[in-house]
Amino acid sequence: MPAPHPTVFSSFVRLGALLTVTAFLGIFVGCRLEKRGLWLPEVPTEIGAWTAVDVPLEERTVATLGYPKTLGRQYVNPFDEKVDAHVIAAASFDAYHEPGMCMAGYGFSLTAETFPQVFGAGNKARAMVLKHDETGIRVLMLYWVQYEDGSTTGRGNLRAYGDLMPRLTTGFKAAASGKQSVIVRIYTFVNPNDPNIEQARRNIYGVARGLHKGIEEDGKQWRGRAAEQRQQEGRS
Amino acid sequence: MSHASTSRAAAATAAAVAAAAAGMSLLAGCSQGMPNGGPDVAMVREVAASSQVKMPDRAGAIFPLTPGRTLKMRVTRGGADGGVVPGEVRVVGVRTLAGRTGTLVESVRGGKRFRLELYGTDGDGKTIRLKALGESPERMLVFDPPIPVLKSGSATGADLLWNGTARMGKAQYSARAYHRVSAHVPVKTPSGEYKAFRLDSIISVTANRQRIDYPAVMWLAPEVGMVQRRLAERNRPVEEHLAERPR
Repeated sequence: MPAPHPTVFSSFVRLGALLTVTAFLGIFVGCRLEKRGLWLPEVPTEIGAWTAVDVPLEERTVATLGYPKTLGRQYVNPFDEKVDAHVIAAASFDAYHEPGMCMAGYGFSLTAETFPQVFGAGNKARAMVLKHDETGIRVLMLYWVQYEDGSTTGRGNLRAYGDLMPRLTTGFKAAASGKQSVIVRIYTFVNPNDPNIEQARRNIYGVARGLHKGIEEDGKQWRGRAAEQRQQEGRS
Repeated sequence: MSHASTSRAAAATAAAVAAAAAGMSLLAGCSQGMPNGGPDVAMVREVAASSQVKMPDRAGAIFPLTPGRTLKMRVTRGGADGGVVPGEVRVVGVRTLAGRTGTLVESVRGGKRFRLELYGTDGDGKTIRLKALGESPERMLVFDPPIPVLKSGSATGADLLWNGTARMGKAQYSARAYHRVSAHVPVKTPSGEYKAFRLDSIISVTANRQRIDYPAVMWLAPEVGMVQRRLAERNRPVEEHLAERPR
């Protein structure tokens, strides 16, 4: 039997190296994300005139997100206006799922998208409008990834089940950054009697800032606890 | 290289490119997506500070409490026996009710008094506070501390949250109130059209674990005062419109 041609052999070596790197990268990202996904912050029960009640995420949604730690809250103000909030531990790539995806299943389409700096310079969220195809009812949604130091990113273009690349990029950046992060999405239905949708916009941006502040505070405590733990591990 | 082998190589390259494109499409998705915008983008942008309308700086310009001032209203009451009757909102003057002294505002419908409010103004003359509310001098809910209702000079979007107690006779309840200037909108009334600030308000009193809400919406026009009001009276809607422009 003739010996394999040297170029064929070197191709196999390259392929082997590529597979090894991929495997290590997978283990690295998996481990990092799993460690990242430990943090599920406490969020404020009261934000100004808003009071929260626990409304856990649907089982189907949690499954789609890969069963991370989640927190569902509904903020209600004295006029009975509501803003729903989901806080999701960034434990796997699945957790970075398209935020409007769940709404698409209920007949909503994306009609607007922008990336405002909601939380100060450079700290963006993704702001969206979803419109119900039959009734015309609109939902305003804000989506952001928040790190333990309070910085945020809006991340765009996680549009459908097929849009794996942006989701992988988002997740990979979170894993590589070495910081704990959570995914936050909040939404509110627009009241047809709300002229220029001013009240719904005030509501969602107000609750978003309150949530961001609460998560940032919790992040500081988490960092303190993590530093203490590292010191203890170093001593032992 | 022969012509046939060149064709085979070209076909293989094309197939590889097509397979790669299909793979990339599966990975990256093929939806067009929404560029940074979309037809509804104005609906999700934060309300700009520059677009918010500011109230007059003087409380008396937006919420006049001058004794003797009377607003002639047209009152529409919902329900089976509802209808339209003339009404009035009168600033009676400084009075003491249920141990509290303030400016009494009396609402009359069909010649019958149905709502009493006792107001005060903070020392800076900017914040209007509700001290007591009731149907008659004998049945007044007294608020401690007085509820901030309106701060002149504030802009649309401004709100005031209050937590305190409401007392009626010897009974005392925990209470919460929330007032906000939600919009600056045109309002049509029998006396004409006004550009008015919409003041949403709710006072909630918790008695025996049961919450009783007193919601009201007022439309306040600068230099005129209340031009429209919507109340819930014993679960029935009552709407008042300014019938005559005050002199």
